[in-house]
Amino acid sequence: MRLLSLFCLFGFLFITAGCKHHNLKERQEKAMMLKELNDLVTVEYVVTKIIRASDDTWFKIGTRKILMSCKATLRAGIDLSKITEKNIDIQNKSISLHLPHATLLSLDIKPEDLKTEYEDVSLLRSSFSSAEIDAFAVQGESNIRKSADSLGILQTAEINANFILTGFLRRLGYEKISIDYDMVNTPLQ
Amino acid sequence: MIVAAVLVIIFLFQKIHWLPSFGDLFKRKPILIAETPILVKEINKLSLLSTISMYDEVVMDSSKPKNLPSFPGLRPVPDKIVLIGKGTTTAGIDLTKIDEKNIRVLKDSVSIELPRPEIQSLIMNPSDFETFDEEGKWSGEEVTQIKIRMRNKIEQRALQNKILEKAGQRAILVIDNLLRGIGFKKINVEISN
Repeated sequence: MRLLSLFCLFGFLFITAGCKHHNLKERQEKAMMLKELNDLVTVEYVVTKIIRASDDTWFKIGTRKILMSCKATLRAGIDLSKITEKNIDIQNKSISLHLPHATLLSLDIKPEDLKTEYEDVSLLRSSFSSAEIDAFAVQGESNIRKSADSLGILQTAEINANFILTGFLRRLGYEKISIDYDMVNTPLQ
Repeated sequence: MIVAAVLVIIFLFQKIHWLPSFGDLFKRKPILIAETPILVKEINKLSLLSTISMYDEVVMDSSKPKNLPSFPGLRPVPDKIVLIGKGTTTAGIDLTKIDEKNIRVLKDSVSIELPRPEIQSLIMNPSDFETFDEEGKWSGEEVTQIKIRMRNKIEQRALQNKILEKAGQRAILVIDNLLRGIGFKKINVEISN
């Protein structure tokens, strides 16, 4: 009877292993979504951050520590769709533009720019899973997003937007160009 | 009697939240990362007009043989991982590629030749990935390789769905509206060949 059970167990394991052995493949495809944009991207900041976490839960024996490095690219600029006729004043060869404030348009952390630099796991603990490492990376991403404003990216984006638009308008024949921004700062996207 | 009294006291303290409940005591809390500074490495000046973005989702799985000694006629269940990824591809034109010879102005008429549209970014951040299933040990490098393949797949699909053509058409419309807004009457905007 014991031999029969063992045979059944081995048989089940063999069948399962055979069925599940397949390589990387796409499983599911969802419908695409298109969005129209009017963004003038004027600056890109490349930043780095060290992600540090330790798991020393009191009811588990041993600790786990991880140190990851992360590189992120932030882009900021002006949403041109917010410019309406009332934001433009033209008199002969002079033009006055009233622009919305710059906003953070994107934050990009490429998978290859996220690296585990150090990992220390006690003998009785399992190493960090992919899902756990992703959860740390998500926290790092959130921290970078929240800190974007303090890096001065929005001010740089507006200075660059002035420069780009002034050059563009000058090429179109305007001699006197004035650009200013809304009084109220718009929140980060 | 003493044990019962201690248990009653603990129960009452837990009720008034002076002591954590037994469930909370052994509850797995999320591990929070430490506060670390953000260092600015580069500042690049750009002049990109983004005109379209395409959102897409892909699911990929990968499996590999388990690193265990094998027995004759018996193969162990392979390690397996299933990831779900969301990505946004943005396309538009690079305004720095427009020079003097691409702009012709005559009174209230203007003609602009725009550069060819290009993919400006493909964003798949850590928060855009979800590990749906994970069995066995997967190194960071192995997971990164799967994520890169997912990103390539999203880019491929965006190109198949003619993101560049759509970005070009939108760019013509956006520049046309901008020129009309700043006083030009006769406008001709086209993409360079």
